[in-house]
Amino acid sequence: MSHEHSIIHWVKDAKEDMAAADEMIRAYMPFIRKETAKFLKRPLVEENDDELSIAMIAFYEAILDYSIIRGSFLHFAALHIKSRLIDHTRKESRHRGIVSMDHPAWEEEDTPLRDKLADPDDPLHEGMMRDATRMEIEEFSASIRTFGIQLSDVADHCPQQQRTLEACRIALAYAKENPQIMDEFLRTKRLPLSLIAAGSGVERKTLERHRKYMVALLLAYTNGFEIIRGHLKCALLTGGKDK
Amino acid sequence: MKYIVMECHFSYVILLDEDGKFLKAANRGYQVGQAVYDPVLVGSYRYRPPVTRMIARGVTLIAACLLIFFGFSYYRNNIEPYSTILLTINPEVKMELNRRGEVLELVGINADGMTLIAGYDYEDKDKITVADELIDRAIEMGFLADGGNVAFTVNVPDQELRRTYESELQDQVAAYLAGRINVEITVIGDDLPAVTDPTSLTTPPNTPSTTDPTPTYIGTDRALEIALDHAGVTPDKVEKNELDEDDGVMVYELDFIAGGIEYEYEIDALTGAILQHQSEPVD
Repeated sequence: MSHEHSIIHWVKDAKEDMAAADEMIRAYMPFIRKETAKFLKRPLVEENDDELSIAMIAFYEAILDYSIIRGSFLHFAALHIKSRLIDHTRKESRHRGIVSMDHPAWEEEDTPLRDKLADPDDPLHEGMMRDATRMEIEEFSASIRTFGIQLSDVADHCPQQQRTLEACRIALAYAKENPQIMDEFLRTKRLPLSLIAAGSGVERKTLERHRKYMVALLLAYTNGFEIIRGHLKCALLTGGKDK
Repeated sequence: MKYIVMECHFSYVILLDEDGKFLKAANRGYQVGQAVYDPVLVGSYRYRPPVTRMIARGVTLIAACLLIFFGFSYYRNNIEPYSTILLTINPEVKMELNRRGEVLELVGINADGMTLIAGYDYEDKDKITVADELIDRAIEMGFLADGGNVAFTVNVPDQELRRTYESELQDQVAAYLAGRINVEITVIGDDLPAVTDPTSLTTPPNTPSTTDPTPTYIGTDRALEIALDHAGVTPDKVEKNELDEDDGVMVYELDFIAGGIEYEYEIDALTGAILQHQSEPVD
């Protein structure tokens, strides 16, 4: 009884705080592993079974979707994990018959298939590229943290609808083109929402709701994060055309 | 769509897609800076009932409402017992009718009544048909002869409908029997449930009258006298002395106090026998 109560409190906390959610997932790994194994009808062989990752994210979704009227949390989570895994299996069944790169090249051999194939890309270059990307992203995370923003917050406040995304793009393009706004933004570490709203014609409410997202993208575009900017090929297209 | 991994956590990662959206996804052993093509995004799996199911659900709901509505009115009109007709020849039979005047059930009130309806199929038949057929059977079985009496006691909550029933029974049964047998038909409206004494309505020629005399009770004074005699006291106060029915037996219930003791008596109203008595000190 008290166990059931404490778990509900935990879920409530985890709903709001991603760190708490992560903590909870960590604590319930045995449960998640059990549910996954039950679904696969075999014990999990490796720590990093793909299904396990799916089950973990399904558990997180269960935390987000749970409400007290759904009954016991663990039952709800188990159900959600199962349906997520079914979904995944259906999707993956398309690739059945295609051998994974990670599959051992020969029976009883540890070398993955990948290492036996001629690599079309330059592996050295790719490795360096990945390191560079990682460093740039770390720098980016650090810089948005100075604005009091976490990447997980950005993900939570990211526009979902295409229409909202467009509106944010217009506002960002406008902000980027106005040194006055950028100056104020960098100086006060606050987004001058009313100026942007007035100048770009995007509703202030929209901007407020996606403030964290706007900050992150604006920073990505200003402080020389070349790789991130290269990745965002079509974002801020309207702003890019002028140059 | 290509995503790059922005941040890794134990259970999830944050990805940036090419449109500039930041998304949470399952951590399938990713590293920061890695490019990902097939992530499992958080919230991408939401159970949405398919449109067909939504429609089906709506249709079901409407159907359920209709069923409740029409089902109820069907029940009201066809299944719920609404009125009763007591057919008394010498065999006595009670018909329970629905609102449409169809016979729902036949009950033999006395032994002859049970004999009369034994093996008779009344389902889906109108009250007049049943009455006619029952009378036919009664003639066949010798319960009813020329010059006999047939009485109907009609008990319908609605006054107008009762009158209709009465005239229908009177006219149609008479028309049915006309020229075959000479029977006197009596129709009585009854507001009370049909627990009447049949012999008080008609006295068939072929049965002796077994009418109970009107019961005479001993009276409250006599009851009190019996109780006091039994207790051997003079009452300070009589709290209760009334006629009451107890499990179908008429009794006098008495409460009285004498010398600080409360007495309770139950005395048979017909015979004056003491059925029950007890006493306890008054607190």
